[in-house]
This record gives sequence, C-alpha cells and structure tokens, in this order.
Amino acid sequence: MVTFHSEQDMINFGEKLASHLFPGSVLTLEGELGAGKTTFTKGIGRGLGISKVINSPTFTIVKVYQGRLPLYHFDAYRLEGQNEELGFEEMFEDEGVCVIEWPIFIQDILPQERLDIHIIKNEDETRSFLFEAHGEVYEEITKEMAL
Amino acid sequence: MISLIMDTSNQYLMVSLYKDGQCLETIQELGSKRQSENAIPYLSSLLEKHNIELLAIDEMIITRGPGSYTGERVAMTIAKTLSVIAPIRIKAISSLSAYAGLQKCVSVIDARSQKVFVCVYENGKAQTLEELISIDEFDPV
Repeated sequence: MVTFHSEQDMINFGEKLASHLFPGSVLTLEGELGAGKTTFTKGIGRGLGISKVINSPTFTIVKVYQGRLPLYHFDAYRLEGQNEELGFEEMFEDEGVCVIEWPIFIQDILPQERLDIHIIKNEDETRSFLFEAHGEVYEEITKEMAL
Repeated sequence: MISLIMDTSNQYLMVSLYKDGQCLETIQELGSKRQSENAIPYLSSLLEKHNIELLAIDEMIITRGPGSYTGERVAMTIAKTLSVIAPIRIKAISSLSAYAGLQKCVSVIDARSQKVFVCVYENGKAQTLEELISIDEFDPV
C-alpha cells in the first residue's frame, strides 16, 4: 500500500510506474468518483511521453494517445449492464498500454494477466493505492517498485 | 464493368480495381494497422492512376469478416457510403472464404483471446460451418 498526500505525488508515481510498462500492459483502476483514477493516468501518460492532455473517458469510453507506447484509456462506467461487443480485446492484446477505469463493468473480457490498482480516498483527503498483480510479469513490477 | 474489391477485415489491407474481370491493379499491405486511414487514399490513387471515376464503379466486393472489430467495418462503411451516391452492387464474402480462394484447405483467422475462426474449404465451397474455437480445440497436442 502506498499513500499520497498530493495530486502531484500521484502523478509522479504514475510517471515512475510507466517506465516499467511494456507493449501489451494492462492496468485496471478501481476507486470511487473523484478518487484520482484519471489523475493517476495523467502520470502514466507523462511517463509514456504523451504531450496531449489526458482527461476522463467517461463519455467516449475509450481514448487513444500516442506516446512511447500507445495508451488506450478506458472508462467502462457507462457500460454497466451492457453486453455489446466493442472490440476491446483487440486493444488489450495490442502493443500498447491499457488503463481501464471501472473494470468491474467489463469483468468478463479482462485479460487474466494484468495489474489491478485500487485507489482509496481517505478521510484526510490523502489517497492510498493497493496493488494486486495477476501474472508473473506484473508481479515483477510490483516487486521492483516495492509495492 | 468496373469492380472494386476491398479487404480490410484483418491484417491485409487490400484494394483492387478490376475492369471487365481483368485486374487493373492491386494494392496490398500486410500488417496494416492503419486500415481506416489508408483504405480511401489507396482507392483514390488507384482510381486516379487508371483514370476511373469513383461513380464509374459498378460493383464493390468486400470481405465481411470474421476479423478485426474496426477492420470489418472499414470496407463495409465505404461500400455503404458509396452505395448512397452511386447505384453499385455490393457483394460481401466471408474473410475465411476469401483467404482460402479456390484451394482445398483449412482457413484460419486469429480471433485473439486464444481463439481462432476456422472453416474448411474446397474449390471455393465451405465444407464445414464457420466456427470460433479455442486454440486448444484446434490443435490438441
């Protein structure tokens, strides 16, 4: 568990995590509204050298950015209760980095190997991150970063 | 008769112009991840090079998948849009069939998530149903 006291710390951490990411990386971000999922993703984007502003994909569902690796930023919030095929698997298996907010709504199609991140908004406004690695390569990352 | 043939359903982006059954020219790009960006420019360049007007196209033959989610829709959308402005006939064939051609073979397309689309063909006719099966079922070791 890691705790951040400022937005900037979260972004810096995202940047650091990005340096460990590889083509085909999949990360999920769980947390309540306002927890900082998209903010954290901005950090990842910075780490991937993406200059475009990264903002919430709640309405567009997916946004794609070009960086050192392509970044596929998903928000499955509006997919609750839907079963439509949207071609996500192709992006999960592509050579980019996938960051998925509200993964619970597309649970069935998530790849088995991935890094799950849970962001907790604490009473004192700090944010705590919990990590759950699924798969060797993600376990390596959490080990390297001492998470 | 001018025929436009297009396959954007998988990793081969193919655009081909035929006149009275003879191939004028084919552009084929393997490993294309830019189907949606390149399909129309390639079509445009073919038409220009062979002095054919877009509206002179009589029919468009496309592959309808299975394949890439976006890829399946690129050629389809071009065909449907073209049909709004010109009285063209659209023919769609299965990608599995298109790649098999007239060979006696098993046609396989990567369906991702450890699955494949598969169908057996001989002389252009499907010998089995098109199926989506796991890679283990396809090649039990």
